[in-house]
Amino acid sequence: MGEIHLKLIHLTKKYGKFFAVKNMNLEVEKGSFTTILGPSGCGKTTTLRMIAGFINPDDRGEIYLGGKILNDVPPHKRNIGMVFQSYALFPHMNVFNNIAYGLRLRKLSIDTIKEKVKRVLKFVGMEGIESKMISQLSGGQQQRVALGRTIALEPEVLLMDEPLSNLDAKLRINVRNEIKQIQKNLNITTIYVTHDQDEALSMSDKIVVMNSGEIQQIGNSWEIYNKPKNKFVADFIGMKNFIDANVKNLQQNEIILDAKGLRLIMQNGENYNLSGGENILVCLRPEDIKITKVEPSMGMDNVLKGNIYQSSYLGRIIRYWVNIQNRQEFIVEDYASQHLLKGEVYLTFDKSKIQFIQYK
Amino acid sequence: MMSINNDGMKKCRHYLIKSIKFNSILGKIDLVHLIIIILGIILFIFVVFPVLKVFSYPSIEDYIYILSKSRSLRAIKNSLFITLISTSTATFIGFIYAYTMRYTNVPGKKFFKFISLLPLLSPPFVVALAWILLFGRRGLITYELFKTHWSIFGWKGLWLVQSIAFFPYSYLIIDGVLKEIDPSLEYAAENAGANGFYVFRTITLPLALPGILNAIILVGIYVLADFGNPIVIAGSWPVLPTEIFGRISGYYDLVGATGLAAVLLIPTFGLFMLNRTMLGGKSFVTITGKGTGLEKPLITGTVKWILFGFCLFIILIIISVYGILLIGSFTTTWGIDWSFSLNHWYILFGTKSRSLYNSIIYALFAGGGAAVFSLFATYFIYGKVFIGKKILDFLVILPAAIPGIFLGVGFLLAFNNPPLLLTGTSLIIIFGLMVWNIPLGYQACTANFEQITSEIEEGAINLGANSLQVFKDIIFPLLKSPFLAGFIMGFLRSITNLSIVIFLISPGNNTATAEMLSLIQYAELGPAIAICIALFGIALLVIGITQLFLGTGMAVFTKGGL
Repeated sequence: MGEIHLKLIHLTKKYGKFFAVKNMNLEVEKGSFTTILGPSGCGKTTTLRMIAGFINPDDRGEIYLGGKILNDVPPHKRNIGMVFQSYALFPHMNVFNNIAYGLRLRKLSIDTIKEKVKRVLKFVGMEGIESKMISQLSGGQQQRVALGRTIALEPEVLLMDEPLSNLDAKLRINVRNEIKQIQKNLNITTIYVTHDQDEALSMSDKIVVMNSGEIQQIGNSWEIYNKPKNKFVADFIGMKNFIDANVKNLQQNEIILDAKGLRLIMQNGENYNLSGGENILVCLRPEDIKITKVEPSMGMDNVLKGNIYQSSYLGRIIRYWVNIQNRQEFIVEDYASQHLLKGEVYLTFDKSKIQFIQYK
Repeated sequence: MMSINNDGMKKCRHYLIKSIKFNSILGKIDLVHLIIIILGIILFIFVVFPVLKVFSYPSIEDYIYILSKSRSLRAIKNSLFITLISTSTATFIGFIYAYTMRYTNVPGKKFFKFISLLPLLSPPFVVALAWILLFGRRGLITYELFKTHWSIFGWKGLWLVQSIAFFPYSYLIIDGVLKEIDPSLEYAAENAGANGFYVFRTITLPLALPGILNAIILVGIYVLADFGNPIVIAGSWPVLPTEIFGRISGYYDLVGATGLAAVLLIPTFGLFMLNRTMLGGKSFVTITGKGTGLEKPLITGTVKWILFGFCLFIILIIISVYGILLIGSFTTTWGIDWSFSLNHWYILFGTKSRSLYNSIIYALFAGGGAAVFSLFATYFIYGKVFIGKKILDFLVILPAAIPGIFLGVGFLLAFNNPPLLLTGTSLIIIFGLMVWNIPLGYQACTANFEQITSEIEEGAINLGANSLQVFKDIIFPLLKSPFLAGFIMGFLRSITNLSIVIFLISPGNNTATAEMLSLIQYAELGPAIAICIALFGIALLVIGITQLFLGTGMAVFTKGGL
């Protein structure tokens, strides 16, 4: 654990009766890469804009940077850099003047400014485009200039508001890696906002999942992916199968569950803290379920017999919708199959693959 | 909807097209080209012909003579001078107004917006008229309050009046540009360390510049062409439009009038062309594209209240204009007998009711005609490719560059002889007003037409529709709202027009605005004010109905494309 650099306490923003952000508490370590992940309207951008100072938080909310309260510091004095979703490059200035804009405000000499602009452009891989107008740049180039303009000011914290959402899919993955690399090299505390789970999982030291203005879970990529705390998080990071179940029998290694008459076996963990008769929500990823035509040999943990009623060929994978004894539907994703399966099938999955969410 | 039992109609159409083909002069002209030719002929008769008539009326020697006279030179000089100062103030007020409405959260914004648009609904000399009641020789403030005989007649009065009368145009134009500025640019500037005024100076103002220039040009054209305000308030200080009018009404000097009208057209046409080429160029605002739906960064503190005070001052002036006129319409004799009287209203609904009725009828036909013409021109000129398209497109929009007074003189000269003898009829007034309103409707329609992808049209053709059916089934329904906006704008502009109709009226074909002018000239202010209030009431009613049925109301002004 590094030292805490940015701290949000009871951060709340209400518009009329609607909570854009509700009682948000967050600690961000120095030099870390934190991602706020959530669907549109979840309050992630509002949070970012409160940190940047464009919106004032409601009464009790406080923002601390390096131990100092930021609330009454106007946005132009916060030294928190922000990369905007639309890049917000000034269309009436060329690249040089865009990057120099904030440097000039810091009363630097023209030589220093020239030197810095040059260095920053080299840093983001865009040397020699100083005199180009913004309209002459492609989306990816604009993205890099926007990032360059922000880091040129050497901000204490870097905020990024969905910076890749305006790029096409291929470019997005390249730029994603570049941003991560730049962040590492500068060792700059970064808060990154996105609705893309792949982006969040691949870039972050810490992920904050938000919904309806509230934090749902904070954790590293592994925790978020493998141990979602509630149904929203599970759903958002790709758990597609949810099954209501009742705890029947607790054993040393295994827990026997009853899911509407289906018998499931789940691995017991150290801190599971389940009690007999308790109702839980079982989650399963589509890719963790195996699908076969032939009946599997004995000794598998969970074997279910069902019927495929819909399938979708997606190239790399095939997605099946399988009905189990008219009681439960499963979504299954299969990589191995050479050809489309039809009709009666067997679903098997390891007891260790079952995740669950407690209601209490 | 295309139904299967359309066969009969299809045949009919087939024969119709066939017969048209046979009868047409060139033998192989189809319906589309026929419509284009008809539109072209209309434009030639009602736009090109009057313009040429005016220009060719004086000989070269006449021009030299006119321009050598000091009275003409004074009118030219005055016109340029007043255009310079009134345009500057009107644009400045418009900018402050637009900025305040967009960048602050001052209370009562809706009210502010509504009041600021009232001058657009009024007959041209409403502000001037109210000014006379307040600051004239028998004015409430100058005479009653301060017992002076000072009055605001002259260029200072005209300047004040035009600033108030024309700032709404610049407000609307500049507001349109401010609205399009991506707020994240201003946030980015703040984020980089810039505050308040620096952001305004380096980001907001440069980005608003195209809009400001556009406003300057358009307001400049309006001020140059303004006839109503100077005729009422400028007194013996001549500007070109009043000088032209004076030459005709006072001395029957058609040569002098046409010569000066030609001179007047040069700067308005120049500004018009400047605007066209500028709008053709790229504007910064559109580059960033994707709107983020963010709110603008709001101005707070002292600056906000200074801006608020400024706008409050402006709308208080506007409110006092209408308030004073309303009071004036119920006052026996302004400045002499302050007692309550319904006399002016009796006169209005008695002897003057004919003019008011005429005005409404003319405006309905002129507005409707302009809207229909615009719609046809949009599809058959703007939307088609043919030789000479650029010329026709230019001719449709050209009346926007022609001052009303020029158009009036042009119609007077052009339709005075057979076979096009229209002088003395109401038709000449309707045509004059219609031509004057076509550019607005056309701009509104074409702006919307741009957004209809050609694929929709191609889709209809692919399903078996011909050009006319596409026009009827696809284009018209999709352009309904700019069509209506054009109609309403045309109606409002026509009913309040003075500069064109003043030359075209005849006994029995008088209009309310012309009636007002002669009443003012005979110092019969009371009935003139009553007419003014009545016209304003009609305009408000029309806006109210628009709001009720279309939910757009005042938005017709922004939709109308100004």
